[in-house]
Amino acid sequence: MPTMFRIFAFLSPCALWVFLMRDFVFGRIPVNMDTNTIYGVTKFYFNNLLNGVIPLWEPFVSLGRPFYAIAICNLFNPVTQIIPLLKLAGINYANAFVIYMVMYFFIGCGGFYFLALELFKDRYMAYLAYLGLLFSSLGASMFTQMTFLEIVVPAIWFFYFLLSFARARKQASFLGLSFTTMVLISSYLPFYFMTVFLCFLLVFIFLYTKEVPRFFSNLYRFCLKQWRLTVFCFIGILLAAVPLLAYKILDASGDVVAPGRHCQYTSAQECYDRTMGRQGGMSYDEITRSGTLGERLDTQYLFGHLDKITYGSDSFLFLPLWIYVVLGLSLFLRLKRLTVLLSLIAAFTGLIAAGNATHFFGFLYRHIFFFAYFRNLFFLGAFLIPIVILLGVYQLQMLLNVRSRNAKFSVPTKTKMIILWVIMAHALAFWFLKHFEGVPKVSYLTLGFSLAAWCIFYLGIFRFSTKIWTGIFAVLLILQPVWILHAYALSANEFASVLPSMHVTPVFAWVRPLKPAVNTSRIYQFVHYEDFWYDMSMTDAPPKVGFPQSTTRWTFDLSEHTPESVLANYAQFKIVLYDDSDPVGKPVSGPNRELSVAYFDVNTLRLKTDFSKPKMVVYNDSYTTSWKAYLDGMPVELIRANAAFKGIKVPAGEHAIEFSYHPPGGTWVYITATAALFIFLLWTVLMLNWRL
Amino acid sequence: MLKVIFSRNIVWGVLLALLLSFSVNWRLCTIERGKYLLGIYYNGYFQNTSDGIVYKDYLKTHGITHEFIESNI
Repeated sequence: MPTMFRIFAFLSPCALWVFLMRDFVFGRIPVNMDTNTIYGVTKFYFNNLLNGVIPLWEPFVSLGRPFYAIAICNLFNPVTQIIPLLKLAGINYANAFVIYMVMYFFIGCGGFYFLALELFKDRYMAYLAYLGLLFSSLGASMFTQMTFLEIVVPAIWFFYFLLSFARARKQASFLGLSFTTMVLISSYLPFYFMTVFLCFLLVFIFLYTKEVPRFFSNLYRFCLKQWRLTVFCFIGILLAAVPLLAYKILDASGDVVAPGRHCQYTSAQECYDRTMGRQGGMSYDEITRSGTLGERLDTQYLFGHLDKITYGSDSFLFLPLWIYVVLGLSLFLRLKRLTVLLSLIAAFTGLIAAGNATHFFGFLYRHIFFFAYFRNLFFLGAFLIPIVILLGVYQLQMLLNVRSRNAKFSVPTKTKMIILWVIMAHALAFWFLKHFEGVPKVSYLTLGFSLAAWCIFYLGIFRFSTKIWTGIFAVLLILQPVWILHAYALSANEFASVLPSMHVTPVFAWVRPLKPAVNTSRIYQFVHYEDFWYDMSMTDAPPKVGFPQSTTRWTFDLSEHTPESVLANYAQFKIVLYDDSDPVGKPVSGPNRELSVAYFDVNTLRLKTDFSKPKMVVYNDSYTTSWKAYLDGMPVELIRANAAFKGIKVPAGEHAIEFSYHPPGGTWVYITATAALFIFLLWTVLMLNWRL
Repeated sequence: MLKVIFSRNIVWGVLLALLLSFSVNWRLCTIERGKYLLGIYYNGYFQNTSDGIVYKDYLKTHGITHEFIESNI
């Protein structure tokens, strides 16, 4: 019975969350904003994987470009591998992707429970922390900003393993630390986590001066004693880092440029110079012009208009109101080291995320290299959610101890004084909320119930068990968020539409469309993410380059020096044939006796030729030095043709030609990273001995 | 006595609040948030009206007038 009860206690809030978010979970409302792009990348990856190809090139957009997002979308995580499994089980990609996201979120909440348990050594408090995270904006924001989960979920588990390793140096904790590090490196840019970890380290060293040397000497001794395990873990981390390194090598080769990073807010000349100059990272101005927490976060919307949060924006950030109530109630408690630790990490992280609104980020930008690689500083805001919840639950634990250790407590010592403070604190909270417009009634209701609960608790009118009190606090915690999530789902209904989600076997189209595909999905009215729509459906986008996040340097250069219509008219034909008598070139609009497609996938194009005289075949797909050409199976020179495309000289008669893409590391990089992560996950799980 | 008073959460809370208040350029935040809500960062135009009441209220409560937009945003 207790086990069944515990399972029920953990699963029923998840079921409630799924019920509230049912329109998203069951695919009525498609994923939006950055989650839309991540879905596009994920669908493209697994669709091709199930076709037997690890995609390294995107031939459908920007006249062909490297599949740059392969290293930053959590594609090698063992949890993500559920997507192709679900697809094989008959579920479409969009639904499989949402199931994966929801699972990942619940795994994060589970990790948060264990972290809180390790921190507070109290199952009930850990459970309330679990509920707090489950019903914060972290989960709901997954449908617009999946990156939050990509960086926060492994970080939660990392800190859990770090804490358990610090308490008892077990192999399982060490393995868990290695595994979560591998996930953090391979899921998204690890710089966000590194920033929070540096904040933690700095504050921890300052506050726990005695414990720090002990921890590091224990770590050193553990590594010496378990040197085989240490070496193995080190290799695992290296393997997980290789996909990101492979992209870095590709970037360093000069073949790839990132106009999307440099052209959004600069002049045309500056955009061109910075893009072609491939200056590492971004300038301070480029980073701070948008995407900072200062831009996204406003106290007004932490409390007011929570029913009006639009699905057309990704700045959804809220915490259960009761967390703030608890933090307010705890103002006269004795200050503890853990309170200082958590609040300072939150403060530093928030100040860095505020970008140019403070001097912190500017200082770090000048002195630490990786701060030049941030794009959206507001991602750091996602870390504030679990930190503040931990802070709130810790204060709750101390508030509950006030009654049991009443005699030792100095301020206030008498029950009457405590009750007076409880009433005053709730009245202040009521007064505070009245300053905001559009505060929902449920917030006031939460305040009222909270006041009653605390009075009953301190007066000791009913001697409820800890379980009952946990239940009461759980209701107080989730009452307001349940209403907010319900309102969020209702207002998002206007976005109901369908994204490409069926399995596709890509077909080589000889001609690119000049007009964009008709796309009625309302989510594309907000951010121009149509590129990812073409990747999802694996159909060609119009022959246009623009300022994508990634493209080849020659294609970008060409697009900057050629009128858009001229480039489109030329590049709409993917194959153009030249010979000595026809220097203007003859575009090919379909297969014929001379030329036909033998094989096509996203990394490779094989053509069969039967020319009457030698010809130059130009494939109007972007050139990079990683593309190779073969004639009858033998490598031949690949010519950069017409400034940005691929060309090969073909003799008369029957021949087979091939263009194939071989970037640094090839496909093995991704196979080994996935395998390493899977092995480490299995090993860690086998070594652990969890109890709820 | 002082130790008792200063070792309370409230003192720490006030210190943190002061740190945040004086470190952050709130006016800049307002300007940046105005740009974001107006949709300038999305598409370069004032087209983010679908943010509905949040967008409109923000402009109202933060005194973002046409003059403010012209001179700051």
